[in-house]
Amino acid sequence: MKTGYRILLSLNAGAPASLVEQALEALWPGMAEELVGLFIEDSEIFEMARLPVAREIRRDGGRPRPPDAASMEREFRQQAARLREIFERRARHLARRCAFRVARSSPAMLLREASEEFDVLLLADSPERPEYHWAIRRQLALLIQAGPRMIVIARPAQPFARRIAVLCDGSEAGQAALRTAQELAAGRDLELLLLLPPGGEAPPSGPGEENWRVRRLPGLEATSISGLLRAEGAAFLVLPRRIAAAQPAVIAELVDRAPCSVILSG
Amino acid sequence: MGQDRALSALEFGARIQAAGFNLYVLGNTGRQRHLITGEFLRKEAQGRPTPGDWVYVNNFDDPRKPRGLSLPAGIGARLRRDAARLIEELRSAVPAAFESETYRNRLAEIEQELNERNKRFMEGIENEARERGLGLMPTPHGFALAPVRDGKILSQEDFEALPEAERQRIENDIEELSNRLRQHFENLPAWHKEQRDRIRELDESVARQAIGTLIDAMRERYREHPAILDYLEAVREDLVSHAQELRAGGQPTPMPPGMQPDPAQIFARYQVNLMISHKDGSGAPVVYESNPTYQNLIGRVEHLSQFGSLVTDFTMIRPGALHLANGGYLILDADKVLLQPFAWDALKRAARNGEIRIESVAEFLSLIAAEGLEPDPAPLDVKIVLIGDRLLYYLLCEADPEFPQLFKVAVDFEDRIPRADENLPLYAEMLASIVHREQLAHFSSGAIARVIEESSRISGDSAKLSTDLQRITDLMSEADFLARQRQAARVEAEDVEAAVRQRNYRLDRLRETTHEAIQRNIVHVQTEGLAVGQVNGLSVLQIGEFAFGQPSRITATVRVGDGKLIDIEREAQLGGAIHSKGVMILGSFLGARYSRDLPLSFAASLVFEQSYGGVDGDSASVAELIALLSAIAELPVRQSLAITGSIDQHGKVQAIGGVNYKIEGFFDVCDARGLSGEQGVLIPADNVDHLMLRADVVEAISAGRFHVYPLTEFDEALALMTGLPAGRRGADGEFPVGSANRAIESALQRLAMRRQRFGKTEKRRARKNGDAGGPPA
Repeated sequence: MKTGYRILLSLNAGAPASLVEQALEALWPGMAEELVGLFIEDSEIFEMARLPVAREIRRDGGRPRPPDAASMEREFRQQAARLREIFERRARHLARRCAFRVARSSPAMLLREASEEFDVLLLADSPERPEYHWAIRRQLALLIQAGPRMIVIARPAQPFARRIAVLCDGSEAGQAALRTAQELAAGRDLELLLLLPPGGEAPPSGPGEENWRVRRLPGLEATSISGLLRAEGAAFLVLPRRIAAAQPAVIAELVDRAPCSVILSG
Repeated sequence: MGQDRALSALEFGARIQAAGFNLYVLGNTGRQRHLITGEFLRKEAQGRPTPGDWVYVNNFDDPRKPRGLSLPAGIGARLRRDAARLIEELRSAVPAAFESETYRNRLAEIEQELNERNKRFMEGIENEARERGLGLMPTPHGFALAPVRDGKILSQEDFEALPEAERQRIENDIEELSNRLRQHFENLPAWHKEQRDRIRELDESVARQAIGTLIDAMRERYREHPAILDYLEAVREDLVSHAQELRAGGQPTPMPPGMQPDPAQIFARYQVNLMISHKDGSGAPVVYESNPTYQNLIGRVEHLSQFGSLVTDFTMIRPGALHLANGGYLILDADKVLLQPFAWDALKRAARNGEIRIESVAEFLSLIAAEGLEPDPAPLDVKIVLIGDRLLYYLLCEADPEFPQLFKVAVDFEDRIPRADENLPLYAEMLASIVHREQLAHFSSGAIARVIEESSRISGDSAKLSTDLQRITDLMSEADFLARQRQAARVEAEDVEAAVRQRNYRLDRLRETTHEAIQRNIVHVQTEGLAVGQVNGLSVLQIGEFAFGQPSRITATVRVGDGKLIDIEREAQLGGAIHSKGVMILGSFLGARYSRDLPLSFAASLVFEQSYGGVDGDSASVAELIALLSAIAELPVRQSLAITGSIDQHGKVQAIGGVNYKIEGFFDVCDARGLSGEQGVLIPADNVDHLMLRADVVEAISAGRFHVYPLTEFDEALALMTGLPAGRRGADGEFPVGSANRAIESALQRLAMRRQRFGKTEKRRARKNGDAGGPPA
């Protein structure tokens, strides 16, 4: 089981505290050598706040009104403090080194820089919070192209989840994804579920791998894959970066619909 | 044996079905009434129909008011078993239904729909914003819209540098998109609600399908029991309405660690609380409640302490004795019921209303504020049998107007039965059964005979046998102990005799003390010679279960007066009403016999000398009359005789109580001083049949060293005590010369003349004083 990853947990404005827990749950024991939480204060928000014509539309209702920079500053401070407390309480049990940073910049730029520094980018998704999910989706498109080696989009696990699903097409990227899936399965004592796309071949199984479960996909279609993941009780879906980069729309759709956490690996 | 009245009342009371015919069993203390009543009722109960079962189930509409179901015998237990089985099956069937692929796919579809709607809207807004040169970005509380150029937010300066029309267009676009976004946020709650409603409908449909087969199967088993069918339908609807809780495993809301409810509890609401269960054909129940507290009678609702609060539900209702005996008989000790707070009222209320309503005393006294349960009352059909003593029965009749209405059957056990030939073998059999039950050594026939003798003595009548089985059993147990002490194989008459003696010895301290006082002349009692105006009366002291007799010196003094007879005991408020009545009767006798033609012209006083406790009863009235007449006529009377007996206005001697103790009391005093052969006791002839004297007394009487004289008429006592013939009034209206009555009448005449002379003298003196102007006389 591979350990010693340097992991960045990215948190945007408006992230509820439960997302921190949800994200850290996706890590397997011993995975993190270093764990850094990064609260991103989107600098564009403050630029926008200086523009009287801009309007903020709040989730809790009320007339749209010009953004109040001071109020946003305060809110960022409070959110950051809240998330820091939860992060530090959990993270020290998960990694030898941990830190929480607050940065004000463009999220895209920050994440691109982080890709060079970290092995794993951890994003916590909340499909029930439309603005948050929307922000993740926006970032994902950038990250698929230029993100770190592994991107984890953490979601709440479905009940009785017991498998790690991996899309395995026999390519080198597919092999890397399989290795990642194997590490995750071993770390969590879950079974492995191989999803073979059309034309794909199952890799030869070695000792202890006889229990792999194999399903052949009729096609790369998000709805049917999601259904299969649900039926098989998948806790994670591991996708090769190569496929994600080649079919971003499918992957985006899959990220929307998958009933489990999604890992882009390789 | 000898309890025909009681048995007939028991039979009547046990069988009559009308309301209010509960029973009160009166009689001696001891277990006899319990044994006989219990045995009778158990036999009776066998032939009666078996009552039904009573269960409590959850009232899903109002859990504070559990529903009671009355079911045929045996069905309650079956229902409980089946309910437990149903719960087990539901525990696996319901979660399995929610784990099925079909359900999860349908659920995902519903959840995904909302996400899709959201996503489509957001993508649309974003695209539209982009087309209009606007940027959409998340803020801490929602989204913001601002003009962008080349992917960057326009600065204030750049914006102001734009043409007016462009600025206006941007503002309008921002306003329009903002409003649409705001509208979207306003719609979200409704969309979420719609999603929740659809999920709930899905859950209910899945639950209904999952549980339908199970419930329908159970309904088929109970198709002949409408109450159960109704309940099962309520279970079905409740399960369906709680489908989402079932899906979530019974944890609809997150709870802090340590406060997680037990998932099993979600199904606990479908349990059946079997309060009363009977096997079909087992007959009616007979229940004896030895500790009739309020809760033991009517049942209780238990509580659990949970997180600092007291909680309860229908499964914590417990039955009381009334439930257990419902349909049969409930036996209670009356005194114990009355001693328990609220028990008597609760019992009457249940009997009056024909239902058992479980109410917490603490709640209706507002001692606790916790919300309690109000279970359906159980219909009550029970025969209550109270066992108690007679005094309590009469007090209840007098003081509690409800009592005679609710306990109409008095079962009066005889304290004594005739010592007739047909009863003796049965009595001996009964004694044998005591030997067997108490595991005593075998009793010889002599020992049995001695026990029977003692039984008569206990009954206070040689023609009777005591039914105080407790006392008889105690005597036999003591005799058995003494026999074993001397390592005998069986109990002999001497052991029984010794048991009697030893018991008396244990209780005898006070009697010895009083007799010692007599022997030492601290209390004066003359047992020989003659005295005027003094007679030995006899009284009985009862201390607990021990009684003994002792002589009491009764004295009378006489002087000229107007016929007033002073009862000093009454004047000192030491005399009871019956004693006073006795003294008045003897006064009437005096008047009727001796003063038809002349007024009674004496003042007399009577007293029990050296008696400082209360005196009651009229058993000393013969003795008092002898003392009085002796004082009037100055006739000496024998001190070697003691008298007991009550007199009527015509001079007839009437029976009294405790005759054996009285005779023995005087005998003991005389015997201690040495019997002279002259001593004895005068008793009413009507008490002869009651004589059951100690063996030593009987022996002394047989040997002529002590005597017992039965009296029918007062004159017999007069003759014995004075040594003179009493005398009858002749045709000339005079008593014979030399007779006691003659002496008495003459004395009364003298007193009358003295009083007359005194009266004339006084009148003369008065007239003289009046003429001289002196003070009137």
